[in-house]
Amino acid sequence: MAAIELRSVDKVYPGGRHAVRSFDLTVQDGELLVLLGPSGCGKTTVLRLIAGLESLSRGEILLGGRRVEAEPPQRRNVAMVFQSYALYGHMTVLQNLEFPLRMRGIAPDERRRRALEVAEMLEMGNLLDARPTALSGGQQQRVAMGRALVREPQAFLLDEPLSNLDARLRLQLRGHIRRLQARLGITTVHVTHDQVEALSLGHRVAVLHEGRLQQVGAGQRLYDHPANTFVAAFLGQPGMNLLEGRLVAAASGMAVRVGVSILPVPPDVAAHVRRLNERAGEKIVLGLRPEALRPSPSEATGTIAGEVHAVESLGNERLLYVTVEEGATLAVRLRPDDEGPRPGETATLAIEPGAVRLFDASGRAMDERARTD
Amino acid sequence: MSGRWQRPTSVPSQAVTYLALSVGALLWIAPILVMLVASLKPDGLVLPEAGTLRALVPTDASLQNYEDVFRRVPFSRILLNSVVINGAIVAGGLVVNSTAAYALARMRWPGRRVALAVVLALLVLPFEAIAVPLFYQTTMIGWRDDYLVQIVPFLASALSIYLFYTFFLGFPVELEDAARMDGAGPWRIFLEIVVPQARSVFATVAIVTFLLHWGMYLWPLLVTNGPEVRPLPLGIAAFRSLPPLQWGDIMAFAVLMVAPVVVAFLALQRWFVRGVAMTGVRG
Repeated sequence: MAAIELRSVDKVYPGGRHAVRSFDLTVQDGELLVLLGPSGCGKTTVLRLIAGLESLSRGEILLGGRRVEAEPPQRRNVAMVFQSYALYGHMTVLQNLEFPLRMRGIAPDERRRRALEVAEMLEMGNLLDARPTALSGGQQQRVAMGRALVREPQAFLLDEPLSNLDARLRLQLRGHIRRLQARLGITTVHVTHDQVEALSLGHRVAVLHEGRLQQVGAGQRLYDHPANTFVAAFLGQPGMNLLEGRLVAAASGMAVRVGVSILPVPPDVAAHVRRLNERAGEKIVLGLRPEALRPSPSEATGTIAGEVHAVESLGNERLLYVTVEEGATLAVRLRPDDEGPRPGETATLAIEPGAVRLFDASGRAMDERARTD
Repeated sequence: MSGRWQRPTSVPSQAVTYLALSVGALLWIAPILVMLVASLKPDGLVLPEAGTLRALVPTDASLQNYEDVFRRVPFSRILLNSVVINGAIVAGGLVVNSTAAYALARMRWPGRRVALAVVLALLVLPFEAIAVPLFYQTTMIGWRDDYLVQIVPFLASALSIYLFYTFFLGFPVELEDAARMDGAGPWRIFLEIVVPQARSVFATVAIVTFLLHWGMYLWPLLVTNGPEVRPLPLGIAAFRSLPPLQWGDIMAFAVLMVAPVVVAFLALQRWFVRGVAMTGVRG
């Protein structure tokens, strides 16, 4: 087992596309870290850089404290599970499992023993003679995992391993990956664009956007204290509502003016923003989670009003979409039994104290709690 | 596709379709059938019945003509020549052209684009255009009247490279990446991962190469003198001018010449349909 360290890593492709920019990240020994981001954000490139399948343009990669950026993939002793599983279609499951060992010149007896051991662990002892094409998606996925694990690598790289599976199977295999990783204690980097997968699986989650690391930390922390508006809007279904506004001084302290509404900055937030009182007049972005909003009967101060233009019933919750002044649409999360206003009606929304987030005009979180890891 | 080629629904139009297809099939198969039937007939009956429907009826069938072929010319030797030359061209060509195409499709090296452009340009060049310079070159080297001069110039083939190249371009890179991570070097990846899953394209190239060269006439005529190394097309030409002129014998020779092609085709055709389904890659 080994820690993985990336230092100031840059990857520019021959065509000039800058896929990864000044990337710093440390994956602790035995940790399961999830790289999360929209497609094309560079997360797979990061994985391929660690694997050695891509050469880096600048920076250093360390595996267990050893510089590896000049080493070919087979010498790095990391294993990878590909999105397509990349199983060798002309070989049986057993031959697939034995292949990495055979390439390393391990004796046939030992090869067979280790392959059977992994097959046992992944509960696919009955599939050994089958060809990959005869297997279901979930079974193929397990064979791919087995082939990666069989040579006991220092680190385990998973490139969207669940994205080709249906929802039920995905849930099941998510648990499988988590248990396996916990049992083997193997340093793992898991790439996904699925935030539920990321938050449920990762000890820590690293969010990428346009080749840059946006924020890394425990999933809950990223959700509660996003470092910038990208992370805020990306995490959550739907993401955080973002409203442009201006800081104003109010009787009870600072407040944010959005259109005609004046929304007070809750004291717990104000306490964590440095020199907030001196920043009146500054343009900012106000962030509100959908669950931090609820319909309010009165138009008291600290509420914001708009017209309901859609309601989605999702079984365990209802989502209200409210268009407020200046065209912004706010998502509001309600319990399924909350009646709430209907489409076309006007909704007045009150804000739960403590759920307000402030970002400066460039989109960076003003709250100091979002800065520390 | 399916939108434009809808099955005709009315009975008359179906009948017309089948009629047209039957006529087409008959036109294709008739000469072969005539050849086969004539090869079994006594020599005296071949020409008189050729223009009639009786050309399709094997009157007085026997294998006499086949016996005659073997008696009148060293047929086994000529057949062996063709088998050796074509076998070597096919086998050697598979090795040379698949590796060349793999290098073009997967490796990055200076001059790759130029090499690719040359291959594409050579695709449209007929052999006749290079026959004379090639003859000049081989004569300079002193290559005459042997197997090598009939084999080596045809090992590298632009068409074969192109067929392999397009296949390798579409081959999933992830499989090769996976093999690299598993510890395989470039040769092992090629031999153990790519080739076993490229059987269909290997079969296609083998058949195409075989068909192209089995009937080759001009080049062997230029570079060979005696029957010792001459292949079947020259053999049948010589046989035709060998008196007495016996059409039954000539037809038997022709059947013997075509048979290996049919066998080779039947042996390899099942690989044509095996394609991407073999690769085991999803999504």
